[in-house]
Amino acid sequence: MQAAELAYVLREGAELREVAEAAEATGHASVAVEGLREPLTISGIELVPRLTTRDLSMLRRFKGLRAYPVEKAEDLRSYPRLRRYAHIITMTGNALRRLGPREVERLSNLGLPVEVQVNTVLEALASGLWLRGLRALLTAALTDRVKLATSSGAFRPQLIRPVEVKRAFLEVFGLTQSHTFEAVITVPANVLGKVVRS
Amino acid sequence: MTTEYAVFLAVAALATSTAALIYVVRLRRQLTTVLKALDSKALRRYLRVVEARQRGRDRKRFIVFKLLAGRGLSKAEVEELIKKSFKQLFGTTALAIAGVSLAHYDPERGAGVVRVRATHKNHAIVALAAVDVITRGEVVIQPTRTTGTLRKAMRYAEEA
Repeated sequence: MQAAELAYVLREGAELREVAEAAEATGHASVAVEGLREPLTISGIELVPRLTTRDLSMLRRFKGLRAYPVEKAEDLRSYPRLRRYAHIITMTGNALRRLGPREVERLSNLGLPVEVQVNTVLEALASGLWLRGLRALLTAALTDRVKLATSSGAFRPQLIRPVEVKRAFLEVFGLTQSHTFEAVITVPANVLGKVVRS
Repeated sequence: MTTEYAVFLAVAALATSTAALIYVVRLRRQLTTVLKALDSKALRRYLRVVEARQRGRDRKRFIVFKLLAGRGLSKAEVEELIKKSFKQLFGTTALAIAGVSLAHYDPERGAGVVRVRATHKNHAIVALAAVDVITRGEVVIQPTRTTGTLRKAMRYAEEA
């Protein structure tokens, strides 16, 4: 099973070829690209469109990876619709800082994989912030209540993180090797594979 | 009666020898597994760790990295950035324990090798990746490989 990158944000002037090359160099076989309209394959790397929005009607219509961002506890309300329309729940910087065990319990009841972006966490860490939400999430992941998925959350091809960095990042936070493997390889590959097949 | 007894004895002997043969084959298999386990790479590695600990030495790891942005920096500047990133993420104590140092840096290729204590390998990888966050994207360092010897690390750095 090859690794998949779940979050790359396409900005003006960026070359998709560069993204594919960076993905290949960092050990990924497919990338979900925010801002891409159609699925593409460049030098063997699959580029899949991604949409991150809280608007469920937009998520419903979108063909590609559908991500629902969570910022605060109130964002986790419309359970049945969310479960039907979203492929993945994305933790924003605010959510990583503020959410507590109760909200993480709600996430676990939802049953969708939860995405943690390495770049978002690194930014928060560099600012010296206490990541209450991340800690609660990792505890839930360790007890198999939440399926964790890591991504880079990059907006430049150079910022796509290698698989090794994602693995080290989770192990530094105390995740076991098997949980890390699941969060870095298995869950992202399964999510993107499901999107490609549908 | 004697013939019947002889046949019974022959059958019993045959059954016992077959059972013994099966038992010996099984035992041999188990013994082979145990011997293989004793000779396994993991066990040898563990023994090396124990020996190293007894001698008061720690194992090192060499992380090969590539500079994707911010070429033209000197070796001292790159080392300072890496240490700054490590310190900001994990603190001064962790930096002192980890023993992070720049073992090799080639400014032309933009590739280098960081030496770190094996227990802090993951910390060093995260610190290398976080350099771009600290420099606000001006310098981007990407860890590519981790090795156990400097010689192999230098080889990978030259290939990078």
